[in-house]
Amino acid sequence: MKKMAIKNDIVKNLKTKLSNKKIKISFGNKIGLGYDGCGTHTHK
Amino acid sequence: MRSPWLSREYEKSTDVVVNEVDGNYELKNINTNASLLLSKVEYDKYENNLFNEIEWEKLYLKGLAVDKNCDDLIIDSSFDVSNKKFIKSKNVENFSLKVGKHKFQILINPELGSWMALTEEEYGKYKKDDLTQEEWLSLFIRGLADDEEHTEVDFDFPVPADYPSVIVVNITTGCNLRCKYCFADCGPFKGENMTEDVMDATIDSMLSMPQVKVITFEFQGGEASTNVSGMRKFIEKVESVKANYDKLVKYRTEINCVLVTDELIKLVKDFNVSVGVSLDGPKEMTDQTRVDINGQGAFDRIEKGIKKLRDNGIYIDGAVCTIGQHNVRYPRQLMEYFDQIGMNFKPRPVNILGREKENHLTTRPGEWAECFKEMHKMKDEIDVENFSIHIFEENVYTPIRDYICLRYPCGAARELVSVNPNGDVFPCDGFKGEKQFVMGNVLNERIEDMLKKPKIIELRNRTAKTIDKCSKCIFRGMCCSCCYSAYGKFGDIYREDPHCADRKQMYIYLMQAWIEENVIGKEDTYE
Repeated sequence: MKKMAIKNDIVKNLKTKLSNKKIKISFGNKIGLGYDGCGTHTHK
Repeated sequence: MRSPWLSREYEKSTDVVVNEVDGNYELKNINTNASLLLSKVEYDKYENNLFNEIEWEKLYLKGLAVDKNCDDLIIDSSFDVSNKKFIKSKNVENFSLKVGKHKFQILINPELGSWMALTEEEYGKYKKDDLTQEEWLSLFIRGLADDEEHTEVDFDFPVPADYPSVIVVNITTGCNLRCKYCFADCGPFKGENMTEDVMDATIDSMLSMPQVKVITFEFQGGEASTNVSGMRKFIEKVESVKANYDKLVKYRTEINCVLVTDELIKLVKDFNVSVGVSLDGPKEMTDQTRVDINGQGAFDRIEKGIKKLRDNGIYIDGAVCTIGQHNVRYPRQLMEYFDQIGMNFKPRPVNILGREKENHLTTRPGEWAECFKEMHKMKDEIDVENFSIHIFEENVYTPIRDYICLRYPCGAARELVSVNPNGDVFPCDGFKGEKQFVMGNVLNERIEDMLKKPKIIELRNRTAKTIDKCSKCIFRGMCCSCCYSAYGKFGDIYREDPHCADRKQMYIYLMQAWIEENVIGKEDTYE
């Protein structure tokens, strides 16, 4: 077993576009899938 | 002003040069000519990488610093923060938060779950509209302020799925244990195994699912390991037809580890089946709840089963650790136990369904929050991954909502469905013992079509707005009432989560913990 090196307060791959009319912040990573039936929640 | 929400890992930009100007320091981007004047004190912090996330952000949004993990920043030449007319937003609420002897005001956007901690002095400036343009911008990009000129903020984050990618295949409803809190009310001497016609219909229905590229078949029960031949039959059927569909297929199973046979091990190895287990901590805790038909604790058999899996080179993904009266007061022992056996785990409270309705083992108000807090305080000291800490931290500290049970709308009949041995399909695994939540039967209709039924559409659109208490809660953007837990407790899925009060304590605690660690240092203690 290895503890995952996750810093939960940092979001990786946040794309940002600033223009006069619109500010767009996009999440460039895929996300995983967690649900309450299993013992795992692995992603990032 | 401090906030983890939208935090990145910043560093200096190689495109930036520094010029000393009358005792101050000008940072200038040599490509864009964007610049910012720093005082000597500010420059020393910059030079020594001592800026906090908001100070870095001020540079970043001018192109004067970079994000270590993403170089995709586009600043249109039309963008000029000095021209913006920022104002307070009606959508933002606030509350005071004490961390040790320090007092903060938290601005929170309840819809987004975004928040910012302000000192009393900063809050005073905010109330008088006396913040700098850069400070307003930091609020604005978090949905914590408006712009009179109606500049739009677009958060492009993954949205809930339209079609399920995971199906819980209840390969049997029989079980070799009779756990005291079993939400599906399973046990020995009853139950049925899945028939081949149900297997065929389930496989076809899932492999034909639109939009989804990866399908996971997760075997549960009852106890899936009591029907290994059924699991093998199912998987062999998938393997024989999957080439006809454009899907990647994965398998996993959640077992109690009481019956780890050579047949099970071969199946897991043959088809690379991921394995999770159910375990409530050390023997004195597990044996109170995970018992057989004679009331005998199963811990020793589970321990042997885990050893046999590992001796055969099988990695266990993690353990579901059900939290109730048998273990809620022992968070340290739980963390130490799972660390000792080298297994990541996810603690979660007993759900009030099935046999739990007779046995009343679930946590009492406040107990789950206290247990969580204690585990969180030792997270850096004990080297085991506690998935619940990760899930809750992610929801409080970031805009990411990838845990489908803690997000509106939840993953029921979206990312996930569950099928029983007789072909009845449920929107979530938690409903598998509840007849009134049957979406349809795979022998009669496709799962894709079941998703279009009015009742299911209503469930798929169950958000905080549809639940009275949640609709008024300031934490609704980082929370979700578990639909089957609400049903179990109140007989109504349109109610708050049974652990609502605990959740609020946990969100506040996590804000305090972040502020303590990142803002005021570790010398202060909670009050």
